[in-house]
Amino acid sequence: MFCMLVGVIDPSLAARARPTSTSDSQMLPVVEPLRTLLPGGLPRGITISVEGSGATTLAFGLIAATTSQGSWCAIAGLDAIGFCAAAELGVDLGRLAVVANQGDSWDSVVAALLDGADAVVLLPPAHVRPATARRLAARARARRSVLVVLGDSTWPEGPEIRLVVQEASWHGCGSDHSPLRARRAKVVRSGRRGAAQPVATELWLPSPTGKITSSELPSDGSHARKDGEGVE
Amino acid sequence: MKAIEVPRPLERVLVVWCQQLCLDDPRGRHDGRGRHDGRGRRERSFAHLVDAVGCLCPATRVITPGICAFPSRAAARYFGGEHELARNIQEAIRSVEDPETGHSVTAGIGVADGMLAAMLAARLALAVGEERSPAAEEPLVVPPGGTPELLAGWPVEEMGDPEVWGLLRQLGIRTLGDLAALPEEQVRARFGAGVSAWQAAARGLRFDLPPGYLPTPGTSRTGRAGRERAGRERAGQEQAGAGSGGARQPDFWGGEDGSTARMAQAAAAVRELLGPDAVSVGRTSGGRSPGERGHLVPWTGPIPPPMPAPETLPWPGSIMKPSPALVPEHPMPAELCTGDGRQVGVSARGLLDAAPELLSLRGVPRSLPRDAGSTRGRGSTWGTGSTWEKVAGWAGPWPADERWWSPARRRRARLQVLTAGGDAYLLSVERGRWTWEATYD
Repeated sequence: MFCMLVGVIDPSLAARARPTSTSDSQMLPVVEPLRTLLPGGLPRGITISVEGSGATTLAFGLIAATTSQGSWCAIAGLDAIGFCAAAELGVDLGRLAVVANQGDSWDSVVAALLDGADAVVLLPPAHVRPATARRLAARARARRSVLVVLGDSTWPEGPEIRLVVQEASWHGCGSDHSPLRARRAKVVRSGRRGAAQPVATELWLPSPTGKITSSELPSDGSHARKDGEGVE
Repeated sequence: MKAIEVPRPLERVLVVWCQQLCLDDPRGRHDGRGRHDGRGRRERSFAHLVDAVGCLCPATRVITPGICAFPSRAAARYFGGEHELARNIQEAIRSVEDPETGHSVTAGIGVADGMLAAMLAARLALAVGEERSPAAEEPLVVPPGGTPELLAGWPVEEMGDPEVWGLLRQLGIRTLGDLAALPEEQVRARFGAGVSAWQAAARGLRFDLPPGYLPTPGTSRTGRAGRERAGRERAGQEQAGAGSGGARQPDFWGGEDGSTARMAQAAAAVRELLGPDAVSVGRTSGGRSPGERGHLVPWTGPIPPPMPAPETLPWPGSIMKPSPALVPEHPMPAELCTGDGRQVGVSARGLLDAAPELLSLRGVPRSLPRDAGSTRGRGSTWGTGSTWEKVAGWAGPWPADERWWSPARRRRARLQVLTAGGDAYLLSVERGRWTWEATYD
């Protein structure tokens, strides 16, 4: 029936009216401010590492658009998740499966999650064998899901894309003791093959609303604040 | 308890289960001579086996590569009993060679009422035989009417569909015996025809294999490798079932689309590896601290736990946005001191009694992406065993008088602290003790 309608109605309208399923696309969607770093989105089947101070915020931001469009993501190995922050960053918590304590069979857990989720955020254990890392990368490639590795220090294989947060500085907690308001950071993308050319962008990570934005903040009113106004 | 009525006895079936000749036998993947080669030779061997069995009983049919069966009543009468029939079958297949080893194949033989019981009996015979040394398979003959007793101990996971057995497990129905004991009409009304067919099979009232059952080739389910393989096999069967779009209703239990069904399979596989509470879904709710406002809901059933309506009411004393990205389940002890080592406190009026200059977070667990402060070279180590970081700024404190109406009253104050290294933390103090509540990573 839908196909019949497509023939009658303006095709562009039909394209827009199609259900927002991301399962067939080559890319997972990302929020608009990250498109400078990832034009077109997050390519399926790759391993991407997120490093530096602010990596957790950036990782939540990476999977936000995927969850809000109805696809499942998973997070493994991180037992200290700020769900409020994730929700503020746009993550649909109803589409994020959490495996906090993976135990010794963590690689099997991640492999199973890669079967079921479009993106898996992984905080790897202290020692990862190169063969295990290669196997998981191959699994992500075969399942066309994305493996997001938090931190680079323990991951022995070079990922396709590296996102490194640099020069992060918080606004707030200054001499006037105003609450933390936002963090300005430079995010540098590097990687292999097509992503080899480094790209850098300045982001609010997060902005005062908790989201990732690239634009300038509205007038900085934090200096006019007095102590205690952070209480809602 | 009401006696189960059996209208007329089920047809007796003999099943031959030959693990080595199953196409999915994992040894084929490691044979080093190419899988296709091994697979073709296994197929030929299995054809020999079916021929050998078919010489004794022409009604033999193939269930799946590696497994064949035939109705045994007439043949048993000819050979003078079911045990004798099974022995003759065992002799007949001795001529079939295992293509990998060149020795004769080993097969489990089961005789029982109905297909399901006979297949499980054959599998049991194979598993029991493999545990003996030297391995020797004895045919397992379940006496007529013994099907319910045989099936009572099998776990509901045998049903194959994780969405179905997951739900049954959640309801406390752990074995096929539990399922058989439920009232028949209510099982049909609540779970549908598929589960009802399983119940009939478990009661020994159904001849055909119940829907969804695919004989899993693995006989050994103990050990990590076995469990992983079982999980993968189930996921594979699930996908095959979803693709054919047959009698399965993948979205029946509440999943809106294939995406949730796929994640549910992965969650089932992870639960099988780690235990029933291994997978969770995060929730936010009312509360003052990030730790109170976010929590985990275990994903125990076939579908993810439902999402409650978002909390919109304001909470006095809660910390404003942006929220910290790392919130440990349990707050860890911290120390906040002045430059000369005196601990900072909060006065009765809710103000700091001194300016904090040093922060120590000894308890920050390894689970953070980086070991907060200590590996970054910015904090300097003062004294032994604890890493101190210089405090660059702070905000607060925000006092919170919680449950002032009850004996569980707690008076706390929260403080945001920014270190010279650029890391921001949320601390709280209660009765003079500082704890680390969250990191703004």
